[in-house]
Amino acid sequence: MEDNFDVSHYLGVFIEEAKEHIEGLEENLVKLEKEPDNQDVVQAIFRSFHTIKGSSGSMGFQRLAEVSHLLENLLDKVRRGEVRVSSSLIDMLLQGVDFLKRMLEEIAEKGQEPDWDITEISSNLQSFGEKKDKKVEEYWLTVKLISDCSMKGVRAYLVINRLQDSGVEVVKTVPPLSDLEGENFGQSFDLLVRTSLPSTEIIKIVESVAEIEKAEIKGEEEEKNLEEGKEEKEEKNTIPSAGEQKITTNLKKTVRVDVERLDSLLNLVGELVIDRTRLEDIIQRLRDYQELAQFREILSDTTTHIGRITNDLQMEIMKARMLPLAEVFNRFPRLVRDLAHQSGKEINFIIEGEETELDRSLLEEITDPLIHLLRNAVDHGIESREERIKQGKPSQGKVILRAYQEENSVVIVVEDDGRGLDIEKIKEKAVKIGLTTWEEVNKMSEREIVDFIFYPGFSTSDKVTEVSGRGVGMDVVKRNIERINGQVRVESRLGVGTTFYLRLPLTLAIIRALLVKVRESMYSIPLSDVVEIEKVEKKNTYWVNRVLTTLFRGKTLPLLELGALLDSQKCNFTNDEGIPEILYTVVVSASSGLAGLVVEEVLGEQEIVIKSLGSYMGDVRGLGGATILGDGGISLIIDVASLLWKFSRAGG
Amino acid sequence: MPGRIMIVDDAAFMRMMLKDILTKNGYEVVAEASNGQEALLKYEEAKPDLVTMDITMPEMDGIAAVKEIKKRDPQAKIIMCSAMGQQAMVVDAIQAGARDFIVKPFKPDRVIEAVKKVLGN
Repeated sequence: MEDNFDVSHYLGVFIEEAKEHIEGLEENLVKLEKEPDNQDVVQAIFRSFHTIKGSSGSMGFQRLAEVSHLLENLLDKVRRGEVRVSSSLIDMLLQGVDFLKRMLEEIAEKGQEPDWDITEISSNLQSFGEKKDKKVEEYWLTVKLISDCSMKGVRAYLVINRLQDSGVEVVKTVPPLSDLEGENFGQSFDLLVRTSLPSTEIIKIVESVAEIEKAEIKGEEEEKNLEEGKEEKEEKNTIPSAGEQKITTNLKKTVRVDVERLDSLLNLVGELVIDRTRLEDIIQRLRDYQELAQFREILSDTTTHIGRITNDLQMEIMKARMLPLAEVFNRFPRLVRDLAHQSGKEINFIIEGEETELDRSLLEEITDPLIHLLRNAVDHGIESREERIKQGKPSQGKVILRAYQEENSVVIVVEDDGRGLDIEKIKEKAVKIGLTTWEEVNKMSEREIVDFIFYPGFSTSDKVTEVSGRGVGMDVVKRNIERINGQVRVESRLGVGTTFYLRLPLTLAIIRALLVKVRESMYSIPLSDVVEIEKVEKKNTYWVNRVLTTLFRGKTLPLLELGALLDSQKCNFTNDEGIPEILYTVVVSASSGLAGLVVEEVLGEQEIVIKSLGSYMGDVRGLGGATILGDGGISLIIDVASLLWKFSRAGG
Repeated sequence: MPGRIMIVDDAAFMRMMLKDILTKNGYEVVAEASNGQEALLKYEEAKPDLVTMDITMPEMDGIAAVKEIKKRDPQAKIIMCSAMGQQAMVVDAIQAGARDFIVKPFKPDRVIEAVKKVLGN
């Protein structure tokens, strides 16, 4: 095509798509190592390399195209059985994929291809499997069916299928595939095939199908005429690959949308939600004007309608933002494989429920914590081969990554059948570094003790890593998950294994919240954190360790003054005089347990749109953002987890 | 080089007709089955070189049977016997690993051609 053909505005789509292929490749390569005979996987890998080659060629990224071309060739050899699937082959291919990945990152950053030397990787790829590379050529093939052939469409399909099974790539069909399948053709059809097999071999393959009268390679002259068509195809590479996919799968019609656009749509819906709340507010105020009753009613109807539509709109956009967890999970088989290799362990990594969907912003947030947990499971959780055998466990360790939806949350489970957490060692360590005393720790439940691994001090010590087998950056995991309103829980049995549960909200942006009033300010408490609202009488309160408490469901519940917690200046609950007769208490739950937040007034519940406080405010402990209320006022949103953390630090 | 063939069809008439066509051309019919379930058992017993498989059958249909047989013997050679209008099912069967197909009503030379090609003789 002409030099002035500008491809730069395809860069985003190109990189996006290439990245998807790379992720798929890593997953499939690991799968191939497990199932060396799985031809479907080989085909999928081949197609990915092929697509990357084509589109990078079109973008003018020569090195990228060259390396992916060589990878494709290598896969072709695998497909034809010339190269056997082996660990070294997988390593070579992964190495190639890594190279593509690094190159893509560079391109994404700089907008152009880096001038890296590719001779080494190229020659490695080329020489792999020793056989000299046969030239891959393209042929136009005419297939003629016998005159009274029945089910021509299926017959054509069978021919294409047979060619692909034999490692011949079918690039294009004339008439197009849809016409072939719909039997919209006469007695013959043409195929553009790409292969290193000799042309006689191709004809043999086609004629091994019944009811074929003849198959022939088109003559030289015709080939030249078709050459132009071929070039066009090379440049608009998406055509053949789309066609290929149609052969095996029915693709849903989709449109790629810039993520930013979805974000701004959600923002706009958020504004609508706010406006709806304001309308409701106006209706409330109109109640005082009898003469406007009629208008009030009309306004009320309209508002209800707007409300319903906003809800639907909100749901739809939420759904559009949802992505299957597979997006994140798919890269883990590679990670686990590499980690297992490094530590010389054998690990059976099982992924379940990867189709579970989560808001895309959350997806990004959970990647690091999950990597952390998996790494811990492989490095410290699973024992060495010898140790496992000694303990009578199967030599192959098991790590399971599972996801499922439970009401309005998604639960992600990371489970291993390794050595488990050693409660005694954790106790020892916790006392040693001054988190608790022997007296206290001996009264604690196992669960409370296990929770020590999430304490910041606990994780930094290398020694603990070796002793307890856990604890590397667990506080970071917990903090990250709690920041997105999630919760972390761990269960473990010594010698049997450890299971981490991450509970995440489906989405971040719009939540239901309880509005409360404290010292003339309005605060929103996310309803998901609220257990109950209680009116506690002063006579039912007690002092425990200088903290005001009451009994709630048979257990002591600390009563915390929300106002004091937030500005931490004036605390009224220091002695009996400061305590009002009635304490309006919002009972909230966080992973650290239940607590009662004492407020001045409970105003009711409302849907709120979370607006970030902005980075210039820094990390404000106890607050998770702000929202605009119906009357235009601003309410700060309480982040229960970090608020209680703050309390436990201050109190402890 | 003739081959040993198993015929799977729920209609006795069809089995008879196919058997006639095949034996007249020197093939040996080593087993017959009237549904997919039975086909699985007989396949294990008789280990035929080739199977002709009807699509619509009680108990287990032909496509499920192809999948099962292919699972046990990836090298199995199977020809689907389809009625008119079963395009989609034939495609399914090919994806499951069937090597070729013939369409009812059968013409003897078509049957033989398909069998010959699949057996590679």
